[in-house]
Amino acid sequence: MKKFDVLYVGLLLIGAFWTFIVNSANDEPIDRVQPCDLVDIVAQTDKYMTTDELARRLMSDDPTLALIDLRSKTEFEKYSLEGAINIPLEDIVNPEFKDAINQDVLTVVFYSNSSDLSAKAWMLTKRLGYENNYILKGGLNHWVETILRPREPKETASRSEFENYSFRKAASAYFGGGSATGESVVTKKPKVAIKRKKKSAAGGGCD
Amino acid sequence: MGPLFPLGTIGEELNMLIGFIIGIGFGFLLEAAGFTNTRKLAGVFYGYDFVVLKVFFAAAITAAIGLFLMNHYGLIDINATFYPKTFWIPTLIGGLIMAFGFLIGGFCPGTSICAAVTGKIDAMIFVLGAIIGIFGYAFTYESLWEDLRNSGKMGRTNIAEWMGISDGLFILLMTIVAAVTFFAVTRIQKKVTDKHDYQL
Repeated sequence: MKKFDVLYVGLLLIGAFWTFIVNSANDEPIDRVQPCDLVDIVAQTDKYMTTDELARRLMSDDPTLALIDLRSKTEFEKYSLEGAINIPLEDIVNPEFKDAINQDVLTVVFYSNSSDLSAKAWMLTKRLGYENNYILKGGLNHWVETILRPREPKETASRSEFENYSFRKAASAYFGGGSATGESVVTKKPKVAIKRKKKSAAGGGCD
Repeated sequence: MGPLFPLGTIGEELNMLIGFIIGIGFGFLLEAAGFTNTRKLAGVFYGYDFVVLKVFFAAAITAAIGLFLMNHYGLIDINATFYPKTFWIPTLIGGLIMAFGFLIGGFCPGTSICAAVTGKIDAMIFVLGAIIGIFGYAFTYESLWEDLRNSGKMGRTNIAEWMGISDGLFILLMTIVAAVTFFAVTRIQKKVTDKHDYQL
């Protein structure tokens, strides 16, 4: 064998060892959020959206809002916020729903009965590096308490609290609060999760 | 980042232009390395010249290592590249036919076109035969070949997955096999050329 051949075979062997080492050392893609950064992210306080803010945006028909209902299908069919997409927590990392959750155009709001499931979903998606996701603070329980059945503040309460109360009362009327069933009066067809088109691999071939 | 064309980084025209330039480079180097000489390819079977085997083996491993590392460091998305489905029975038969073609004709599809362009008459006839074969297959596909073509279906799989080992380990094993093969064929070549007087 010539010198060049030996050199090239040596280079190939080095390359092969390199692939072997990186392959066995780390199977995770490098763009995932690293644990040390995750600590900072968890400490963020702007991951919540309040029920008032959500009501305001829903009433103004905000087109940039995407609601994700994390509860089971039966619960979702019983009652859900208008325009919500049902993606149970088990399916949150399902690639089928990736388009609905991972995007930078819409503001995605997770909700469940309380904040527990949404916090989990938020954490999972954050770990995957998705942006623009929020947790509905207090979940549907808080939604019913504050928006559907708001309580009148005490007489000594501040002016802003009264203003808040009048807004909530209006919102309650809009969303059909106080009715015995608790069902939304404004019934719009629930959106169907957009299914991601599979990126087709390049066609063609060679000899 | 890549692959450039499937992800839409470059358009059809630029894609064609790049392909054209790479194609010219490929043909130029095939000719420069003497691959348009039929004796070079046939030499693998007679044992007096293993350059073709070394080149193909080295090219495959270089590509495997390069693709793996680029995918690992995020330079290309391997899932967006062309990845044919495996049908092992027709592949085996096709491989045998191709080997006989190599041996009898002394060309592979790429080198035959290069050689035809350099004016070799046998290469022109080889290309003509290939074209007749392509059309013959295409026009009799439904009546004769369809069942054979779809037999031994394995889907989109790669050999490392099939063996249950990681891609990195498979590439490493393959490279070691290649290195051993290179040294072995160099010895065989030396023995054969010492015994007979083959002229390229």
